[in-house]
Amino acid sequence: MKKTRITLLILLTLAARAPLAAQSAPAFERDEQGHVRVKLGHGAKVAVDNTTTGRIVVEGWDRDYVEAVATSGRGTEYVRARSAVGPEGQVVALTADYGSSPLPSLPTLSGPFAEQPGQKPTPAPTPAPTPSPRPAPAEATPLWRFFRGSEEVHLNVKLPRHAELELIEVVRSEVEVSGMLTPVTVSGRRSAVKLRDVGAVEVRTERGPVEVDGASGLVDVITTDGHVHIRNVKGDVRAVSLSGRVEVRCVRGRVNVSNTQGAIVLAGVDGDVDATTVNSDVTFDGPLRGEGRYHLKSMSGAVEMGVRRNPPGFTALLSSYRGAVESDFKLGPRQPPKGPAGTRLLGRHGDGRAQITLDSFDGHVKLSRLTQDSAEGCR
Amino acid sequence: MKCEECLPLLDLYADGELSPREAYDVAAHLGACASCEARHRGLRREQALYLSYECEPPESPAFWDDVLTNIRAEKARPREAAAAAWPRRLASLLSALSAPRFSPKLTAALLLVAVVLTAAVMRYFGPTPEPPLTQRAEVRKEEAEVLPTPPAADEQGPAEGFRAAVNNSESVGGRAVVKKAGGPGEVKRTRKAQSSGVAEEASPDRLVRDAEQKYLAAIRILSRDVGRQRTRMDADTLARFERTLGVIDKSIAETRAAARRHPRDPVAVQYMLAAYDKKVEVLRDMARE
Repeated sequence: MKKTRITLLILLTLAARAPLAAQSAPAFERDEQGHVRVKLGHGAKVAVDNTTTGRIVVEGWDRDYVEAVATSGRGTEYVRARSAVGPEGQVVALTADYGSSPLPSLPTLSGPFAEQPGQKPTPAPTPAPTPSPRPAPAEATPLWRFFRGSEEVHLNVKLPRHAELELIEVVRSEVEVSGMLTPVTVSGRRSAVKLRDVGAVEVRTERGPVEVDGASGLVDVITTDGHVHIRNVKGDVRAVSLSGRVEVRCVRGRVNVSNTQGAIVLAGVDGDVDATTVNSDVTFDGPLRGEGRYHLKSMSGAVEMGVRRNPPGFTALLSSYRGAVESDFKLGPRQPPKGPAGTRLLGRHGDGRAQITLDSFDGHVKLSRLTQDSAEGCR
Repeated sequence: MKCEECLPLLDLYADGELSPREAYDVAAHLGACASCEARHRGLRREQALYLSYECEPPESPAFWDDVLTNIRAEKARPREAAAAAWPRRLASLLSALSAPRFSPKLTAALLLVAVVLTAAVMRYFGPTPEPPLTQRAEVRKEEAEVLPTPPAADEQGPAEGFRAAVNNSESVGGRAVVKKAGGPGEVKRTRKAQSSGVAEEASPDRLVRDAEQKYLAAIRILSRDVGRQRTRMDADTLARFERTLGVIDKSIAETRAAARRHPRDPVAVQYMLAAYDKKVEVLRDMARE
């Protein structure tokens, strides 16, 4: 009787865990061309990685499964595909590797990942395969890997637009993500990052250019040494670069940018603007918002703001301690400084609601009228 | 012609190298001036004396024969003789070194001077961590200034920096020297390397140091200008400003420590620069009071 109870208990426990087990083992399909496909469960996340210095390209599409392929100069390479169920749900991990690599789990991924190559895949509308020979495996010796290490394997992943991407963490790989509705987070050391039409963006790099064209949420970019180019953003933008040009165009939210070296170029910003640099110039072109705040500052560079012919009313304070101050608008009498306070020009145009502050310690400051709006090309 | 004009021309006149017109004038003056004529006669006597010397000794017919004989004898001398000459030459060199003019003490002193000079030249022309105050040379006018090193600037607290400027001291911070030449805010760096601006390929660490130096230079200039204004400020305003500067200096110290711990963290660096920027802003407000 007691044995029967114990057996029943075990059976019940196994039955209870069955759905979880099914969830933890998603169906992977690997075709002759080296494509790996997996259907994502609800709320599943996708992690992409590259053991080489090759590119990682992620594209959102309208299908409900993930497809990944790795290629190099010698043909199709291997994509490690694993899945795990963690505290935050299911995670599907896809990693580019050499076709000849052995199959131990990768040290960069932790958790109970397990590849399920033998499992029957969930039927998916896969495209008709075209004949393509699988690359001949190279010698998998350490010496070969040492010399072969310079070969780049590129990972190309297509996934549903609504799928959540895990943090993309790379050292030297370039990262390109496009067509996603969800946030994208990238951490790189010497990586070029290119994001197009994505959700919110968070990028941290040490070196390499960062380009964001089209984002529906907040864009937050911090880089030590690299140019930052951001455009067509529906949310706010924060960009910090120690050394590198920062260019921000067509932003509906507020913009906060700063750097040490490299020009700051702003155009077509609807929200408030705060831009600070030490060594370089700051320029702003575009329409003013009626109650906007525009604060542009440089330590030793020039500060110039160009506004359209018929801007809303604004109050402007233009000042430079050791440089010249110039305005195309009549802003009232130049304020004679009482002491050695440099040059200041304070005045009001129209109702004076927008606030403009242009300041430089050592450079030229100018508020000019634009004949053409440079923000007209915004999406 | 006067004697002062005639005397410089006498040598040329005696050599017959004057133009006819000048020679005529000199001759006319000599006819009327006894002292110049006496000087001219002396010159002529000297010339006659020099001309009377045999300039070249007569070559005897056997002279060239002797030269040829000696050359042949030198060629015929065996190599051993040449080798045997080395010890003599070495001894001669050593004796030269031990002579009073090349004594060991003197040699050591000369070497020391050479080392010091080399070090000084390298220090002067070598790379310096100090940045240019501005990349725009055209807006700078006069006033030479040497910026302080960062540690010295750090150690200089708010009050010290302010008082140093107030007292119009020429020594501010570690090794700052401000030569006052004119109006406010006009600075030109003396070092040639500092006029080219920050190199685009400079490392981020270097850029941060340069940016910090730039703020420190601006703060020093402003402090000096505020110092000139100080007597015109009322005590309450001054006390309020000094309290504010104290708070900002504390913030600078904290953010600077964080930036030193994480020198490649752009956010930490920006916080530090923002603190410096705040100090510049307050000092500019003070200068405007």
